[in-house]
Amino acid sequence: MPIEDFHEEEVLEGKAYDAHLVRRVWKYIVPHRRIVIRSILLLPVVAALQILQPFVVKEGIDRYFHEGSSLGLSLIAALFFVVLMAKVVAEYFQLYLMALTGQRCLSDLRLDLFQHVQRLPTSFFDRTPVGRTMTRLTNDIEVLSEMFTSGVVALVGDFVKLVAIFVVMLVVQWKLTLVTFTAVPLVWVVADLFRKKMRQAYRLIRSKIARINAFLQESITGMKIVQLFAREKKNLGYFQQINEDYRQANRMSIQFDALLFSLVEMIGRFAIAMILWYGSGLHQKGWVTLGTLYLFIDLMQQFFVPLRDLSAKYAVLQSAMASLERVFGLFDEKVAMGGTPGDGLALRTVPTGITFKDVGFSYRPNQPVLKNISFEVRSGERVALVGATGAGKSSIIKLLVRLYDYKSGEIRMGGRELRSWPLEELRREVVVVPQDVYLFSGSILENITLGDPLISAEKAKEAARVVDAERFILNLPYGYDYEVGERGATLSVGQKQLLSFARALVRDPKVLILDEATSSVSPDIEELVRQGIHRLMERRTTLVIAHRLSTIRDVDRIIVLHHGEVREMGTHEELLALKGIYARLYELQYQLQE
Amino acid sequence: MKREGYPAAKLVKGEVKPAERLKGYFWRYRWRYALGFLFILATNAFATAFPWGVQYIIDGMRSPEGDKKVGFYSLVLVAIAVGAGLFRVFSRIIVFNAGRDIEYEVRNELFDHLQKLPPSFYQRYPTGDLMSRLTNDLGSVRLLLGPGLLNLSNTPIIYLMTLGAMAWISLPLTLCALIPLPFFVGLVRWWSREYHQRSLESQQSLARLSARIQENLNGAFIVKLYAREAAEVKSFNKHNRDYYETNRRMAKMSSMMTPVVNSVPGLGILLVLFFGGRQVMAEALTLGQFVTFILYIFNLSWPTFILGWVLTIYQRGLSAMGRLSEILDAEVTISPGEEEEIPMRGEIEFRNLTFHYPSQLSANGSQRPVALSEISLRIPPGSLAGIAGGTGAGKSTLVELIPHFFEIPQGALFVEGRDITTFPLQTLRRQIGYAPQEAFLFSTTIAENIALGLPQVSKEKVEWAAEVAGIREEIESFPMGMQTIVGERGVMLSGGQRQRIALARAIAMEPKILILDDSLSSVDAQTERKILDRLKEVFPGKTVLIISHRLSALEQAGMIFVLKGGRLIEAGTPEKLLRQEGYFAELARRQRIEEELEKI
Ligand SMILES: Nc1ncnc2c1ncn2[C@@H]1O[C@H](COP(=O)(O)OP(=O)(O)OP(=O)(O)O)[C@@H](O)[C@H]1O
Ligand SMILES: Nc1ncnc2c1ncn2[C@@H]1O[C@H](COP(=O)(O)OP(=O)(O)OP(=O)(O)O)[C@@H](O)[C@H]1O
Ligand SMILES: [Mg+2]
Repeated sequence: MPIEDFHEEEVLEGKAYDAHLVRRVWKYIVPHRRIVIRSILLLPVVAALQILQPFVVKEGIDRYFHEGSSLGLSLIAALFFVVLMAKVVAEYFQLYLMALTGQRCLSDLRLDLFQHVQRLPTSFFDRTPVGRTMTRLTNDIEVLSEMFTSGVVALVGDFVKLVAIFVVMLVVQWKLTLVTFTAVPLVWVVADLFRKKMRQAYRLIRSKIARINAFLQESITGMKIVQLFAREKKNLGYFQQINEDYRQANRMSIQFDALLFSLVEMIGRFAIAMILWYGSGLHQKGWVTLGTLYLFIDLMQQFFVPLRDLSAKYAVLQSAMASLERVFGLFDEKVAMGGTPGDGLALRTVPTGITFKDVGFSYRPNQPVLKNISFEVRSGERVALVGATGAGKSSIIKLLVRLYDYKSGEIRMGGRELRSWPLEELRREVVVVPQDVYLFSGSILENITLGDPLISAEKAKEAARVVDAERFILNLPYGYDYEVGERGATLSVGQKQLLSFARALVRDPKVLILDEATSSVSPDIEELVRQGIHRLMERRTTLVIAHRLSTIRDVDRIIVLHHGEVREMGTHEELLALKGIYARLYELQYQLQE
Repeated sequence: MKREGYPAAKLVKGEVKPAERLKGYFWRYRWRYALGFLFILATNAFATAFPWGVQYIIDGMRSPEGDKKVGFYSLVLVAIAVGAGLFRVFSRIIVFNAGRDIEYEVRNELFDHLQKLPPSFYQRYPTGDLMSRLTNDLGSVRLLLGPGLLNLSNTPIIYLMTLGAMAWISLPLTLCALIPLPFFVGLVRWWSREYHQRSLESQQSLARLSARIQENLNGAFIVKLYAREAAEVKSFNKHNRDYYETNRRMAKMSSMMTPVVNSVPGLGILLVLFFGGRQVMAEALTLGQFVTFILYIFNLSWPTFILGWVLTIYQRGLSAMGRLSEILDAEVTISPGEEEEIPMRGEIEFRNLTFHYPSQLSANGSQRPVALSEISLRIPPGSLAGIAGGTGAGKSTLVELIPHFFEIPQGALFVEGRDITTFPLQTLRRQIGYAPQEAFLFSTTIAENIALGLPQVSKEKVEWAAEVAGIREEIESFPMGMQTIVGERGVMLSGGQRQRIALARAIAMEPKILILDDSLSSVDAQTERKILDRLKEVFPGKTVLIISHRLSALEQAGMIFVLKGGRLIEAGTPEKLLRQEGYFAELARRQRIEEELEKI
């Protein structure tokens, strides 16, 4: 795990080839091909209507200007108007359909990415700041949106237009065309020159904005600490620093952008000078009419509009590519293995004994957190895990619900290897009340049910009653509909813990795991909770972690963990008689109260 | 989870103010913009000269020594093109950078302001929403102040210059070409109004989506533990669809603008063809002039085209500015005050304090629950005070008032005999060490987390504080020691480790008042004991407030305050309270019984 990189930029190297990226985007366009095709079919129509305009004028000049036919001129003007309006309509639909495709693709992409993120392993969330992942799901995809709406996809359209103009010009006067177009390859050269640099610049920009987001995310969620520790000035200083980095990164892109845009424009003007210079020669020889010259100038203008546009879009494209790299980079994160699909045997129906055999585990290489852990919990037994802080109690639980996968040894559940249970089933039957309480913003009820339609409000309330949470809930303004705020900010810590507890109980699991589930709850309520659980979890396998030994009073057995190893195991009496770690902990806790 | 619990931004109000704000920023950079403007002017002078040259060439072709003239003027055209290009580069760099600089400044300003805002603000705005404002919305403002302004000033200049040149050739024809303009203006006005509304909706929707994502990522472990992935995806997709819908509506509008705007020069050409053609026939206009005229109209086509884009940018930028103004206008209800030296001994006094959270106001205003009511108590300097009480009794609220974290009325809370509302905020907070009930660590090193309240990271202090908090040895057993990176919120540590680092952070400040809000709840008895002993040793004569549910911690206190339902129900020495048959005596009795039970 690249922990050292925590605050470093994730520098993405250019190994992701554009063609490869485009192919991956293509996957998202294909489902909407019907709209795309319609839009693309409109492209030549728009282009034709566009090119038709100067032809109409040319006809006007060559045919009627000399004759002086006023009627002819009116006809020409009317024709021009029709062409113009037809183009407005065609172009509107073309653009709208294209934008629609874009929005649909992005919506699909966002959903896919979100779904993918849901399946990423816990270790990913450990090392990746929330703000960074958010950046990919929002800002980076927004950049792509610009790509679609500003019509980089319509690049195809521009390209069609360019080719059409070129062909038309060739047909009308090939010599003049070839001479004129000597200027065009210059555009290519310039664009290619800038490509690498621009991409680099945009990559830098994307990674800087991710950093800003990560810092913002953290500062806002930790604002209380920032303020209470009077850290505002220092924090601002740091923020200014990363904000400045972002600004500098943008400076570079601005220079490239300005240069490219101006160069293309300049080259367009060169081309017109060329037409005039060479064309006048041809005209004097009588090979081209003045109307044709006009046509050329007009077409050349039209030729350079998409080209100039292109240079603007080019920047968008480079920026979008940089974002795509990041988006697909996230897609390339490996997902957690889901467990092999069951053979019909349901965890619900088998006895849920748990066996750890020589299990070893480490979060980081060479830093074993658990060593040779072996123990057994019989189905329906209540077992407590005790030990000093950092001993590895929570880690054992994380392995049991497969938030992480163990490195060595074997864990069995219900007589089978843990990994052979489908993940969802496992987590439905083995429910943890985690040490860290997390509530979502939303109502109390929603926080208990977690949006599960199978859990009725009545059941949720029942669970709240078991943990004696109903008393405080009914005192709140809207009772169960009370909005708890982000992370449950409007509740006391003990109240949050009770809700987190109720959330587990309501799922009626086969195996219940309590990781310091009542550490912040006052003893009177804790006692009630304990009794409630006792009733409810009869004959269910229960694992309890607690520092207050009173909490684990009625367990069948106690496992003592020390520095990642099982040191003692047995009933309360056995352990006291052993006069080991447990006995000392126990003495201490009660002796203090004398 | 749904999140409808916060008010949507006002849609109509504040329409004027954002524009004023934008003007303010613009004004701050006026010289830069002026310079940029000059360059734009120069660019356009060259650009306008170009068709003029074309006119000479076309008309020159017919003259006898046309060849020479054509060659010369062609070279002039090339020179003009180079000139225009040069000035264009600089104008763009200058103006775009100004936009970026303003973005930079405003982002700093926003962050600075955010840091001053009280908790009540953060309860109204989800984190993800705020983040979206500081990146996406600010981005829209920047787009307006950079490329937007460039093109906005570019357009009138080109129009003026080009129309001038056109009028020079033929005034009547110029007027003819302008006929479609009024219709166009009307159309644009209607369009802007619509677009403004739609872009605002889209921005709000994006902010909601961000908030949803932010919460999901923060709660990723719960989502996993409870196998809620599918439900989360469903809820996400609801927001995602909503955002798609707003974008679709916006696309409908923006797709309209481009072709319409594109047709304007076409209409001009049409009119020139119709009216100008007659004049050419009547030989009132040369063909060269006619072509030049059309070229001028082409000159207008890009700025007109871009105008459509500028309008979308402008509308988006304006509504984004409105959303940023909501932050900037949010009131700093706890004013920092002038910092001053105030020697503290650590005396705290509550005088008949009643406090309720802003969100505790129930809808009908009747019978609102109160977090604390009529609290009067005095904690003399240098004492160890214990605070007890049931879940939700108001203990945390009580101690969080001391560093003036929430807005409170005057005359209710005194530190050092001075009303806290007049106490300089930073001075006050620097003297208070607070170990919160829920440890919050930042994703840096352990050392930096401990040194958070210090002017700079000092190795000795950090180690000393870690030692007092009973975690030094443990940290040093990590391969990276104090330099271990803890992950966001300290995910890479165990619960007890996190808690003690947060405690060390409070201790490291060597505060006059130390507040421990149940800060040893995730620590085993042995460690707790050691820490409390050490604390007494190193902090003699300092005021220490301990909130705890454990008798072992409370018994050490010189005085104990018991809260219930926001009221102070018991106060006194432990001995006194034990005799009183109240909450505290009950707490003690319960723990004794447990102990007896276990001994059997
Ligand atoms: N995500 C992680 N990445 C790296 N190291 C970790 C991670 N989570 C825990 N650790 C380390 O693993 C060890 C065991 O942690 P664990 O959370 O299992 O302890 P615990 O016994 O539950 O302690 P406590 O009683 O304090 O909760 C600790 O030293 C901790 O620093
Ligand atoms: N930000 C808030 N907005 C509205 N109500 C709040 C807010 N914070 C706390 N409350 C309410 O105020 C009351 C007191 O909360 P407080 O956190 O002070 O309790 P506590 O005594 O510390 O409880 P615990 O032992 O559970 O930590 C509770 O009923 C809680 O619901
Ligand atoms: Mg509390």
